[in-house]
Amino acid sequence: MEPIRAIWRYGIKIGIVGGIVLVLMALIGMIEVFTQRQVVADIISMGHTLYLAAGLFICYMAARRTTPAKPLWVISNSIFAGLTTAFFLVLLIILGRNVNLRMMFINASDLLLNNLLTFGVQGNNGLRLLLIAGMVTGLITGFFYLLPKIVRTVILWSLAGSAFAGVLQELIRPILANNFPDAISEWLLTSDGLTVKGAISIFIFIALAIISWSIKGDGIRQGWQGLPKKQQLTWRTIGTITLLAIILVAPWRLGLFMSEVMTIVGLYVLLGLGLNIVVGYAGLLDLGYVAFFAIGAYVTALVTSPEIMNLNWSLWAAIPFAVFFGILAGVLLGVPVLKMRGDYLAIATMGFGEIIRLLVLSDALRPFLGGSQGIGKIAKPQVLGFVFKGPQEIYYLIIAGCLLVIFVSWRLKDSRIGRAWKAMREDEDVAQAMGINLVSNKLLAFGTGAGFAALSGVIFGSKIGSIYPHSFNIMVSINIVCLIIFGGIGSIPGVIVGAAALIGLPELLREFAEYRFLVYGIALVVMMLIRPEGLWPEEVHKREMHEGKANGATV
Amino acid sequence: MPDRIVRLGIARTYQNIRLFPDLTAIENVLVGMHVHLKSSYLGIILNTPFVKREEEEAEAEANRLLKFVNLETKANMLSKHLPYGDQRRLEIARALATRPKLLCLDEPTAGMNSGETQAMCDFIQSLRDDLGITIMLIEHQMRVVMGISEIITVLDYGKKLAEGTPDEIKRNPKVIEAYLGQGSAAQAH
Repeated sequence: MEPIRAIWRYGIKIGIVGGIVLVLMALIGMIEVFTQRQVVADIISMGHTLYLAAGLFICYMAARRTTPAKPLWVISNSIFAGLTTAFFLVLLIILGRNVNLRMMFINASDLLLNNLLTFGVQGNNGLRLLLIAGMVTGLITGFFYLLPKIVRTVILWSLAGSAFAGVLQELIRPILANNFPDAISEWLLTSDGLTVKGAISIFIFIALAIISWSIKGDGIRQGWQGLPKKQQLTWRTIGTITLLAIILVAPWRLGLFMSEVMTIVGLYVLLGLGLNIVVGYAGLLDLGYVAFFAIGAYVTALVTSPEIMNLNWSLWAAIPFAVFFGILAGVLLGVPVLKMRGDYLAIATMGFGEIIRLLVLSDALRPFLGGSQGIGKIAKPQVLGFVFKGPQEIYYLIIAGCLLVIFVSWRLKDSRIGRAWKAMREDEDVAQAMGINLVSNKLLAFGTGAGFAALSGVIFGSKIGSIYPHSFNIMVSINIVCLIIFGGIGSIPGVIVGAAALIGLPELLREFAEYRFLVYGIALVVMMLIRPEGLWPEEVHKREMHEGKANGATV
Repeated sequence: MPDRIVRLGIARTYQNIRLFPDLTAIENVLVGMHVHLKSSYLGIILNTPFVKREEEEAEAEANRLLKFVNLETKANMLSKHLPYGDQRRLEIARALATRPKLLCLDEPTAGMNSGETQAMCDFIQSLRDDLGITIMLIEHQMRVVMGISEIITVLDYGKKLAEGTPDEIKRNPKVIEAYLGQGSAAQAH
């Protein structure tokens, strides 16, 4: 390849892709919606953070792609990437001035095109500024790429940490307000966004933390491994107890809003762990999983609510009953799909999920199931006169449920049954040829997963007090599959992390609500590209990687 | 149902290796032992003494089997990362874990060079000598077939052509005709 083209070809290629992505992001209104929240007060909004981060990412990719990686070429390609991206945005703005884009793109407002995209500078100066900004971004990124790896890591994580703190201020604010002196809160946060000194102190704090870990980290790790087994166990127990204590006091230290978020995450952890058994262990892709959630909730509603059957049971009596029905439904669904695999299984189970939703919605069954008006007045759990009414109390019920389900999953995982499931996941024919009864083991997996979902349904119904068919649509199933994949298929901590990331974060960032599935999609694609095993994969894989390396080194 | 056949004491391996790739070597063997484990669902969740003991014994047995096939140092590696020859032996260990009376090996030396083939032949011989199980072998490499078989059955287009000791088979005109052609049969006489 002639050297002269290498100066710009990578930059322009990536810049075109990046430019189109940024234009689309602007046109769907993402940047405008996100501008309503400040990351650093009066300096930069979330929309602009996203906008700049995308620009930096594009330039960084261009720098990384450059071959051969001569410093000058890296920088020039990075500049070209920034410039090309900016050029696309300039084109969009010029187009927006001459043609009424709002005929097709209702989000292409004047404010977006002539103010937000150009950082508040209007007219042709804004266009010039945009091009210059593109170049400067490219230049900075190019230089940044040439820095040593440790410096890059420190800067990147510290920047990301500050941005994250700004974005998640609603999580940080109650933590600071309830647990620390007001001075810290005033130092870090304004009513909307971080303060400048707050952002800088977070940046420095994270940078120092990373630097000290990279210096001392190995020593600490070796020290840990050098400890005798017994001492390790003691420290682990202390750690677990501390964690448990934090979990137990959390709702009262974090306030109502965070408790609400945590209960929602908890319900999804329950659902996720159940589906993790079906999908993660046994490898049966079940897209109708929400049906068991619905069955749990509806059985609870029927037996505890005065509305339809007027049984008025207590919630404690309803739990085993609902879970039993969930398991029964799981087994009954399992029977017809025993012979199905992969895609066929996914579609058949998806149909089952829809059937349940349509049944509870139908007018024919309205006298028995409430139809579209749902069932109300579901009992709240009570112990000796103490009523679990708000999210802060229900939280404990959910924690108890999660602990139970985690415990059961963990015991099953490395047992005879867990191994049979994993063998079926890997190769059904061979598993059978090794003596594993596919029928009983599949039904066991379906039943266990459905039981967990029904438990989640019970708590869900009791928490919100009244249930409607539309709470049980197919997106719930899809969300659960996504969070399992995101966290790491077959991994118990992965499900918890995945639920926190995919269910908890969007609750904290209500601006995301509209773009939730777009963000899910992007997150999953990025995940599959850079970390296909998930955020927190199963222990075996990590352990094996290390041993594999060690063996490879000795061979 | 294949799972019932295993319970009757017949186990098999595959011509194209079919291990559980994302399970570790020891887990593969433990899956083979599934039919002989009796832990119940509830017992597993409560981790009763019976379940604990059974798991410990199973693990010891699995390690013994891995040692028997020379894989004891690789117990915790994912089976997909094992070298080819190791995978073959692991597959046999998994089949042995079902405690078969009859072990069927489907072309166990497929894709091996002559050194590896010899090692595999010795290994198969040791299976019979040490464990005292009957081995049925499907193989077309003459060196393997003639080297370790006691009784050979020759098939031609799915029909049984001849059965006998290696020496008888070597001299059987029908076999020679079917596999080497008519002219060769005449020459041999």
